[in-house]
Amino acid sequence: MAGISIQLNKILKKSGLTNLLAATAYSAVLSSGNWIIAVVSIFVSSTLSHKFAKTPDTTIIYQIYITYTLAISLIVSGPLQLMFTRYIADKFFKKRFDEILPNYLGAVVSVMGYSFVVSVILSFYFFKSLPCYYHLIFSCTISTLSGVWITNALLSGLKSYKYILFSFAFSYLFIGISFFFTSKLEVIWTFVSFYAGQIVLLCLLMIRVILDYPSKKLFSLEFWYKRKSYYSLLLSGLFYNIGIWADKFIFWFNPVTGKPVFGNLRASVMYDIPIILAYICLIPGIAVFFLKLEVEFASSYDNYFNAVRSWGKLEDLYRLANKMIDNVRTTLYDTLRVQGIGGVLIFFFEEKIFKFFNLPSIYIPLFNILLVGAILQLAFMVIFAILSYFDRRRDLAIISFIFALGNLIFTMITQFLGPYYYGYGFALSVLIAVLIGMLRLRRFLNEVHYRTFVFIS
Amino acid sequence: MKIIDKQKPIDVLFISEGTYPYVHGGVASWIHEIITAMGDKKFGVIFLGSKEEDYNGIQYRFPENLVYLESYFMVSGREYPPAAYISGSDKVKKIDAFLNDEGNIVEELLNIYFYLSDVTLADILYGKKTFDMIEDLYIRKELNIPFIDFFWTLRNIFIPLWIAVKAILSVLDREISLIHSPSTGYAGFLGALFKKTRDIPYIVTEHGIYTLERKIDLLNTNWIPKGSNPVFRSIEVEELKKLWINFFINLGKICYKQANKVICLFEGAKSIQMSLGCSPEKIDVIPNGVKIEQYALLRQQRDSIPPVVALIGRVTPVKDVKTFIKAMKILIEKMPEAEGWIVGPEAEDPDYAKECKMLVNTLRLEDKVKFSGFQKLTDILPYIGLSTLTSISEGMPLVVLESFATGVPCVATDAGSIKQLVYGGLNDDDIQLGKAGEIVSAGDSRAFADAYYKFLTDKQLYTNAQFTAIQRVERFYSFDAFINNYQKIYETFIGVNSWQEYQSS
Repeated sequence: MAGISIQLNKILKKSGLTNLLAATAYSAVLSSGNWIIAVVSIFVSSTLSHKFAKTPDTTIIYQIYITYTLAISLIVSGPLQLMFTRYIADKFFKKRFDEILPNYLGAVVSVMGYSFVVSVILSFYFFKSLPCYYHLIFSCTISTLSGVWITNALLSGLKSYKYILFSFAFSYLFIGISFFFTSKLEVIWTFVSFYAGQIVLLCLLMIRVILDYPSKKLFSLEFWYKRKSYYSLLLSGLFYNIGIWADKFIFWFNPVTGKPVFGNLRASVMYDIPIILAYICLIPGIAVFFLKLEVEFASSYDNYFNAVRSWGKLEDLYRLANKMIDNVRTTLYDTLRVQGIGGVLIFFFEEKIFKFFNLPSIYIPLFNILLVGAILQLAFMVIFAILSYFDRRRDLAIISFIFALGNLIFTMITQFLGPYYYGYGFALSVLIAVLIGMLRLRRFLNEVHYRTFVFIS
Repeated sequence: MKIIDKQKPIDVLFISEGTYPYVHGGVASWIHEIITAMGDKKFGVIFLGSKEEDYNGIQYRFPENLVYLESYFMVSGREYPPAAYISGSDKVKKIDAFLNDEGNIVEELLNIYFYLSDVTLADILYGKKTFDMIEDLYIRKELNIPFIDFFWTLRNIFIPLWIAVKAILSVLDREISLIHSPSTGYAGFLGALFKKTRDIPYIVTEHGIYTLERKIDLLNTNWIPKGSNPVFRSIEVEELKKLWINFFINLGKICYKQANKVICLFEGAKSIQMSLGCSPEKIDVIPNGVKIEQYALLRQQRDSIPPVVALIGRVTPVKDVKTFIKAMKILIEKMPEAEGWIVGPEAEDPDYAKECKMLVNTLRLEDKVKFSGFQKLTDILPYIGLSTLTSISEGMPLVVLESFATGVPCVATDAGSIKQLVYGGLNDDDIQLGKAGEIVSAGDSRAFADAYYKFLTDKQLYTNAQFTAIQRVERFYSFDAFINNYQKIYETFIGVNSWQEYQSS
């Protein structure tokens, strides 16, 4: 009988779930760990070359300049990092490897282009009435750094960790050595040397992408419009990075807490040193987090979703989901446990540490609350990464917005409340974001089967 | 998607499931012919299709008296509300009645408000309670299949029901005298809901037996998603297919129960309908008919027996085209001048069509067996000696009647009404007329080849069959008789405002 029925064959193809998220856009979060590495190495190299510098200011100007380029490039490229890695994760899952390179190059050109424009505009404020080669080098550096972050996010998403580490180590060694020489010259040459180092880094990372993902096509902007539902990741990436930097900028630009260092580049000695130390203290926690997430959670996540996609009977799904939820719990708790122990040890020995580095002990109370904030920020990273794994884009946007807004508002308030409250605004905002993130994650995991089957398509 | 709305009262509203006006031939042409032949009545059509992309657009020039046409694409997702977390409705538990063996469909499921307010489309798509129901059903049925296959099967079964129900809303305030569904299934269910909701008389014509056809579809296809573990496969297929079959059987029961009249095309179908739960007093047999005149002219164009056997029909597994190809191989060994033509569209199942062509190549029949695609029958019937159908399932294939009208005997399987057409079976007069060809068992390519050979070489046998064929179609299967029968049925319903009024008159 001619087509009397609706064509069964066609209805029956299950849509959805076959193109399930295999993947993760959390690498951008991890890459924010890289700026810690960057800051540490700059800190070390400039301390070492301090004696040889032309003027004592050169080192400080150099550090502040780099902090600004890092901060601005992270904020500017943050939005695209998340959206782009999510897009690539799809391509990876569908095994469309030949579409990776053209879209990567499209993303690099986009992000470098708009970063350049944004930083040119900013440079008119930061380098007001300074020669225009400062504007130029500043904008080029930020543009290149943005390219580095995007590439770094892509490669971390593709798990080329060793290569990333090698590239960062190589180029920061290059940067350190060239600072040693350029610090004897005009300050602009230190900027140029940093820029050169970033170009080396970008080239190293880029070569990897080009070698690993060959393609006949070289350029595509498909990632911008293919999945409009990923636009919320733009916001998440933006808010996340604003959240991270809001308190720092407020301290720099409050006349009470910050002072100009070079042009309109400002710094806050009382805030910067404790916060850098606090972030450095996170290293053990980040290591545990990374291990737990990548090894335990990722494999139980894969097991669950493989079962969902193909073979799992209901009892299998329940068993595997429980295992996965268990791993969410241990990832969060073990990270915090290790970092907590580390934190307690630091509390005990902080006076000695400060003395050892020749830092005034007046920073210690502020350092303590910033350390609490930093540990909470680590918890935030864990939750952010896990929510990315589950593709909870809405939740990501919500918690990063809360983090950004909270940090802006509370840090502002503490400026008025006075020095005793400094640092509490940052800690409180992360605390709220972490709690809300945990609640939302819990709600999702309580109904993980329902939400997976019904909504992921 | 509303295509025609002339804002006029509708005498007969067809509910077309995957047919008119989007496909050629079969039931779609049947609907078109009825509408065209009854210029005095106003018709409406509600089309229920899968996805718009599955069809090649509208295939007919609309007659003047088609005053309403609306299309619904049930799995296109276009009708879906935006995804949102909702708790859903407890009442969703009731729908498992559709899948039960006993199929005692509670009255509530025949109330349109069940689908519009108790359990909405959004509830079905996104409701937490719907998901709980699916989990619960999976556990209760003690299934041993991947949960995802069960989940998607249930969604695929039920979502179209909810979309179909929406179709009622758009004609809720329209004056309609009669609902006519040319099948059971989703279309028939929609008709039954119409009847319940608006008390409009409702008739069903079953061309084949929908339930059995779906069973064959299901058993013949390997679409059921396969688990990655091959061990699961055999069990899984059975269990999921059983759900679908139960569902279609239950839809059939609902249609039979609600219909004022159930029409089938041949005697054999009547007993099947009864066995599927239809009460016998509702059943009428109205065979299809062909317009004899246009074929009668073609008879003169033939002087000798052309050595051509033609299978006219869609190239799909249910037509078992491969058996025909194998039979042609055997025939050609004995009779090298013979040719086989396969006349019909290949788009419905391109993979199967490809397999058939590969078989032709393997058997080295490229010059002898030709695929000619869809053709106008009047263009090809004069050039063929025998028509054939190797189908494993048929309703009442018009092509048999059309070839009879042209004087072409038919060799076919005993599917649907074919035996009644070839050997006679309407009444004693019909049997007396004799054989207009031969019935062969399905899949037996050698028997087919032998029958082809017999008819193409034995002039006497051929002429007798030809005579019988013409006599039979002229006496019992003319288009005018067919239209008259439907005129009568329609007129008993049109003009009475409701079924109650009809009964009391």
